[in-house]
Amino acid sequence: MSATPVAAAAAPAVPRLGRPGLVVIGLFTLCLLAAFGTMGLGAVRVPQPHAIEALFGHGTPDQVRTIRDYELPRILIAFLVGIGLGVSGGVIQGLTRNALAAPDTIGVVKGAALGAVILLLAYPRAALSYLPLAAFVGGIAAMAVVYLVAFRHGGTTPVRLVLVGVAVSAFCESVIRYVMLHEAKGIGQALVWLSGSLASIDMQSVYQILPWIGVLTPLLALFVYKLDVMGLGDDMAAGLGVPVEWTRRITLVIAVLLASACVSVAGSIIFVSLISPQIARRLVGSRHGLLLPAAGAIGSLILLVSDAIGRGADAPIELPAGMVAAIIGAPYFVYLLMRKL
Amino acid sequence: MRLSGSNLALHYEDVVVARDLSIEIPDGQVSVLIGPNGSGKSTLLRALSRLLKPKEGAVVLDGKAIEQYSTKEVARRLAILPQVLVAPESITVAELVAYGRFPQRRSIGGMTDEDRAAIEWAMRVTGMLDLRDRGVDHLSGGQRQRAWIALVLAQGTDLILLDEPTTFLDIAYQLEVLELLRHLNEAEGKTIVMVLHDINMACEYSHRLFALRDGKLIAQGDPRVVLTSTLIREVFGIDAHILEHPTSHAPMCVPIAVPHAVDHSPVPAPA
Repeated sequence: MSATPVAAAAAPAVPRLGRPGLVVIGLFTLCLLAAFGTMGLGAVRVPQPHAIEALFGHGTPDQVRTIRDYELPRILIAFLVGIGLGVSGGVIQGLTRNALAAPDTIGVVKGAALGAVILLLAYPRAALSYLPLAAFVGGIAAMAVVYLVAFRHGGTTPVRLVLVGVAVSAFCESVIRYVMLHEAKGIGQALVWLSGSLASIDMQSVYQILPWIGVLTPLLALFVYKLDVMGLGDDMAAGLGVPVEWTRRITLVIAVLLASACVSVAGSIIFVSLISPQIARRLVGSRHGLLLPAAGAIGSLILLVSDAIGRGADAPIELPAGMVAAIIGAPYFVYLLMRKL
Repeated sequence: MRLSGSNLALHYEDVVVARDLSIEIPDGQVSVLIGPNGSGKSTLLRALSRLLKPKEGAVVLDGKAIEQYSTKEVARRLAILPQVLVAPESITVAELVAYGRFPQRRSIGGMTDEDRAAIEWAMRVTGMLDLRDRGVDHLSGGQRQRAWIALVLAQGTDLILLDEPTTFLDIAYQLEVLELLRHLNEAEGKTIVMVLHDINMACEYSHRLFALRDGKLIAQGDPRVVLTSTLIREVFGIDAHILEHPTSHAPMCVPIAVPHAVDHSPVPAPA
């Protein structure tokens, strides 16, 4: 620099971290409260404080079994899947600079659903244990198709990713419907799975998804600042020294892996990944270092509450968490949009 | 001479914009690229700032081919303000300017005193200190452009490239921005390279004018010498009087409208 900068004035130039940071901590506290508070609300009621006591092994064997084998895995899954979907949606919305982009709108969720449906109907016997794998492969395959089709002249653009994603989603959806029209048997199972139910969750599912969330989410910390800079547009980011296409590719892969892992254990839960980052942005702003944790916490909160309502509200009938989330989420989303206008 | 391009072949998507184009950017001066839409001026600026990779030829920065640097290293030597600028929702001026320190920052860890000082200085020199906590979406056109210029200044490079920094601004804001850039050149010794559409502004504010047409450099030099009615006809295909600015004595171009003389066939989209 040609001119030596005069010593910085007393006021710091850095934006303060205070309030949004506290909001993130507050959101995770709410998650914990929701996790414990909704325990015991299933078809077999275990009233509080017995539910929490049963978690630690105190109470009747029935209560302990209900809480530990039935409720705990669901609560853990709701928590983990909520984080995965919220974070994944936050990354994809940031990358595409499009508020309507999320794993469900750009092809991942429908691709995963198609993978699962194809397996369910083509090999009814192999089904359940391979379902997550098929969904996982389906989600990744759909996103690979989207990326390759959107790739032109050495790169992608946000708009092309979104448009191609919507097309691929619609295509998968149509194929699912076609297959289901032709194959009556197995539809019930497929339907339950497609609506995003946590009913058949056990600890096995928790162990399946834990490594994905546990490894991929912290990995994103390395990219939050680059993602912020990419919010200034591809050219400005490249001018500032961000390897734009490389960053886009690797963070997209992380987001897709997260979403596919979530869909593979919890079924096609839509809307959570779309709405959580939107709410998070209104609470903590658009810097990814705060936005992504907040979006994860909000995703968790929505799923924890939705699944609690789903298992308790209409007992003994189970309402799928994904369905409840959409029923609560849609009006709230419309409210947010109206308020902004 | 720190920045130059030699025998560049430039493509924009599949369209050939230029072949065998060479340019040398004079240090410590204000250079302005002019030319009609599709003449390749923006494409050339993108190539000089490594936003676009030439198919052939080389852009040389500080004696080395520009691709041999890491992209962060380029960003420590040269700043580019692109034409299309996106400010994230509800970001303040100070937050925007702080992004200029990205090339100097490690991926993890906070800002150093040097970062803070550079941001402070960039806001002071662009007159944005009082507006530091204002949302970028609440600024006037000229203030917003000054905030973006503060961002590239915070990068701390002596070489600054700007792609049409005055487009979409009314004439008062255009002057505001160009006066700022002149000041940065004169007082801070910055080398400025920019694309401008307005020929008179280009002549007023440049030491060296580069006139392009169809990816070829038609003329270059001091605007007082190179701006002639012949050049205007050759580059823009119109007839014009060349007058002298009454106070600055810079040449001015006043077009002569001749009905039907202008070619109305569609021109390619600006590159």
